[in-house]
Amino acid sequence: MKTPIVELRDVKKIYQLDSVNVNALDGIFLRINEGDFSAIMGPSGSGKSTLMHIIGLLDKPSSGEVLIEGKNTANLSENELAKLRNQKIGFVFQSYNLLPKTTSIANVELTLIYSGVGKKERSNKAKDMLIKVGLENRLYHYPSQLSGGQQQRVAIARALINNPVLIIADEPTGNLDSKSGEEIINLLKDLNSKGHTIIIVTHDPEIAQKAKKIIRIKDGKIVNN
Amino acid sequence: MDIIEIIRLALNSLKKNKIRSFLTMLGVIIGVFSVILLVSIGAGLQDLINKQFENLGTNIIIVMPGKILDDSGQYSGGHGPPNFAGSKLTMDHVRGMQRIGNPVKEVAGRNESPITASIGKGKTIFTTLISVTENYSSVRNTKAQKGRFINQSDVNAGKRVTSIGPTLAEKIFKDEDPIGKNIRLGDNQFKVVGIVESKGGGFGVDVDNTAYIPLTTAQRILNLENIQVIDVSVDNKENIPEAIKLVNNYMGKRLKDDEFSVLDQKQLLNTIDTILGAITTALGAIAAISLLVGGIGIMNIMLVSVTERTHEIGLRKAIGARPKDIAIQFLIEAIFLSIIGGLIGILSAVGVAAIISIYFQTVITPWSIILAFVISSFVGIVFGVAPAIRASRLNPIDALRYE
Repeated sequence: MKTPIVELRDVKKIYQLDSVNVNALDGIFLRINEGDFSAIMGPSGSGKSTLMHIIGLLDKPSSGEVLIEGKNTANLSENELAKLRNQKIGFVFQSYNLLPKTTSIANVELTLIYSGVGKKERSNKAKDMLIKVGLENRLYHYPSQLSGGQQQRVAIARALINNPVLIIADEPTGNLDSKSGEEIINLLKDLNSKGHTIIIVTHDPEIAQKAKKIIRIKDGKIVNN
Repeated sequence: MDIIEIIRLALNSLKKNKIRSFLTMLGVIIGVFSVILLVSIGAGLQDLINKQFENLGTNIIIVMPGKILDDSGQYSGGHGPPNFAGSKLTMDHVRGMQRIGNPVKEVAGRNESPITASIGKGKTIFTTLISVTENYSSVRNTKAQKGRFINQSDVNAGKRVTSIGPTLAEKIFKDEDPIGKNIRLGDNQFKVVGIVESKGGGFGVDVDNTAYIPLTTAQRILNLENIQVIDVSVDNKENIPEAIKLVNNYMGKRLKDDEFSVLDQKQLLNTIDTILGAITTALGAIAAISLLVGGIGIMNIMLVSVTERTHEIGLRKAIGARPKDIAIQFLIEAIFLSIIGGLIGILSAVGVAAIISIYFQTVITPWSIILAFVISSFVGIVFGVAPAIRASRLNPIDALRYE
């Protein structure tokens, strides 16, 4: 059997709120294989965002193991984790999280700066990627000059720029109108058809239908897979 | 990721947040500016006081009535002020000491007392009457700017003549030329023979509001038998101890130990040192307050921007920045702001000090520049970098969520 891109083994996340322990994730087992397009669904507070953050190495589980391409991440140093985030994972946030007062192309280049790519190559790659997501006329615009859908495309370009093995999108359409939202989903679908592995978090069943697989989560547990 | 890239990132970040960068710099500017400027004013004051004391005459020893020094040669609080009223110093002592010869150069006696001055039916002015012997002019470096000072024949004959200070001349005679005119000092008429040069300054006392008359005249008409102070000039600074010994010897043969004191500049300088010490302490306090104000300014803007920046740090981490990358970027930003702010602060302080110098000579001291620069930069860097380092150690998602 092929090594999954992501594997979670008995992952738990416990938050302490006023001396009460909240089990945000309560024993998650999950495999994401190459080429998957999975939608994680669940009511708010079900732990789906926490799950995404742990898969994306933005957060650490309280217990259990997270494996990226078969490599256990539990004992990795900060620098090794930074390298994985930079090279292997592209994260798309609901609120875009672009640097303000920074052009589209500079925002996309940021990922490459931390990969140590030279200036010229950086700018060429970023330009290509922005053209790929349909922003050839918005290369030097600031986030404040872009619509929500356009900002999210910049964010997707930034996530894609290092050709990561996994793209994680946390409610990428949450702040968008339905038309822009659909365009973003179609863009992700298109990327998947070109071989990118994608996980998307949503509570919109219509969007989830576009994924190949739906993972439902409730009270920190996967209810069907 | 190499250091050039990080420097470029840092400079870009500063450029993109001009207001934040400016406000941070402003803290450094204010800190550096106020410390350097206030210290330069204080140092100027210190200089001024030093010069004033030098103007009083160097290479001088002073004989005063009563016992002023304690046995260790220090001013003693217990003996109170010089006993002018009961002074046993006389004109004979002045003449006698003049004959000691080298290293004693010139000897001058003087009395000082408050008196009223007026002309005709004009307004009465309060002034200081300084009764002198002719040598006062050279010993105390007092010259006439117009007319002449009290001379030997005035003293020998006990003439009713006076040389007046410029302030008194202006107050009494207004625009008129006082030379040759009469002035009433107390109950007696004196002829004005000269106006002395301004001595300036004087710590709140106008040392130019004075009238000099021959000491002999004062003794005759005011019934003052004795002399309050005898000034003795010495040919050379190195010979002051010897001169003190000779004067002590001379006086010791004529008066009891507790009837006179011989002081020199060194003892006078001890008093000056006490004053200057107080000024220096005040300078230190001023510098500390300015640095505190500047430092709080820097801290404030750093703390205000920390939320925004923590979010930014979270994002940078999420796309692959190492903690080291973050720390270096923020360090470079803080160093850059501190240096630029420090330079602006130094330049504006030097500029403003130069403008103030038109009215009052300020003195820029290197230690104040170094102190201000080092402390402001230190505060800027610590408060700029410490929160960044803390944020760079958070999980990216915690930094992104920070509010």
